[in-house]
Amino acid sequence: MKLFDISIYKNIIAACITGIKKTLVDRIINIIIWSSCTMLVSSYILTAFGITESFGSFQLAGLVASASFFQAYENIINLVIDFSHHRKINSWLLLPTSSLTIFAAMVTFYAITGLILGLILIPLGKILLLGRFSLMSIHWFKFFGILILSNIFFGCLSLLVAAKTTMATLGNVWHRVIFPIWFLGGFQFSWLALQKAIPGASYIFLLNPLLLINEAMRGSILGPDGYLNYWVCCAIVIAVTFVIFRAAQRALKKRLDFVI
Amino acid sequence: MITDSLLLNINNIKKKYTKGNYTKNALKGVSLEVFKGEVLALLGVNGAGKTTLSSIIASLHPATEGDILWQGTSIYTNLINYREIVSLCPQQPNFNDALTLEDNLKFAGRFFKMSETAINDRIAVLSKQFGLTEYLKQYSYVLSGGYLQRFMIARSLMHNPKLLILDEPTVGLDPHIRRELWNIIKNLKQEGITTILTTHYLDEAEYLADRVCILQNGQIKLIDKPENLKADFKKHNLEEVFLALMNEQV
Repeated sequence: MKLFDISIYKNIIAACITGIKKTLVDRIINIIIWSSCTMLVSSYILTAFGITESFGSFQLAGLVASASFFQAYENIINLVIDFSHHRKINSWLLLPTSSLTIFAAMVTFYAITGLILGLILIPLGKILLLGRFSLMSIHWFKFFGILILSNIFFGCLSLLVAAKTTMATLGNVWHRVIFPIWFLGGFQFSWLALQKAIPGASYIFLLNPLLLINEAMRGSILGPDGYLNYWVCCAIVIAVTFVIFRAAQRALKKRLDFVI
Repeated sequence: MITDSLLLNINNIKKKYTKGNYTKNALKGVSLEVFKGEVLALLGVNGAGKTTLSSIIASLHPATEGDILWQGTSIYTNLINYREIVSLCPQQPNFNDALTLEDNLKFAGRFFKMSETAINDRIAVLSKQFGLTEYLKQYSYVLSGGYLQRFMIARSLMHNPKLLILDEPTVGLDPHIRRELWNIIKNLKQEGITTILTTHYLDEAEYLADRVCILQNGQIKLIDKPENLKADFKKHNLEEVFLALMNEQV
């Protein structure tokens, strides 16, 4: 049996991209507003409280990962609503292929949208931060590498969390999943700073994939000094992504009760 | 008219749903044959197992036990090919409402690897047949309930399936719209498409079906031609047959 069908995979992505055009501008505007406020405050206001000027560019790197991560929250909401009501996903699960094709296409689509939103923040950051952020410091190969990896991870996470969430528990997702992962995921701090603050507990934070993504993102945008090794972070993110995808497949099978 | 050629052989299908301590036997060993070109109506009250059975025949959900044979072999060993010839039109709209109707139809064709020429030709035929031509560039929110259902059926037919499963296609529609859809379903039969129709409208089953299969509590109570059932029960219409059956049960 043909478990993966490239034609169906491409067409599901194409259908999703055609469909998202209507809302993409709104999503971009939302990200711009949220990110601009964060960068302006962290770069121009918090300095009055003794925070260094470079904190704006530090936050920019975190915002790139966060923008994609919060996209995952939107994906989860949309999926849970679909699973609980009309189940549009069923029309894909009846196509002449296995669910692997369908879920891979969904993850790819989520990754593409997250990537677009994350990419926008680099020119936006340059405009807002001016001389406080240098495009010359970006290692573009590494940047695109972690941007793509992180968005695939967030896509897989969307599937897993959605498969485990009902309409009744949807309200818990922000408080119990998204916010703790994000707030403890190194958006405001590097792991090195964390290690200085709480040496013993800092290793527990390494279990949070978002912290590794933020470290790799900062390493690629701001330079490697002061952050965890880029390649080690990427390797762990790849491994965790694989595990999450397999867990998502199993959870979706249980939730949606499809044949293959 | 029913042909002699067998399309599907459904053998002892059971479906059990378990959630925590709660177990529901939705289907308790359903066996029946589906013949090429016929309209088979699955009748029953809510919870009888109609939608569960149709979704298993469509290969959406797996059976807990039992098998469905197509061309002499299990559909589960030949699932990809089987899905090429079957189409499920669910009760709830499950298309992409962020796409225009035309784009939905195009992707429905592309998913089944139809060429762009074949897709455009098929859209032209279906949109004319279902009166959707003027709406093709629109989004689904402009459609009334009847037209939405027409569109759902049209989309289900994009890849030229041999077996169409319609799950409660006329539920909640006005009587005259239901009549229009009945004529559409009648026409499908003339095109040689086998149709499995789940409904709890007895007049609909009587008008459309070559055979009716009455499900009760996950089991087949009766399966026969409407005229045979009426003769056996000495009743004038299916509704009276159905009520007599229910009274027998009481």
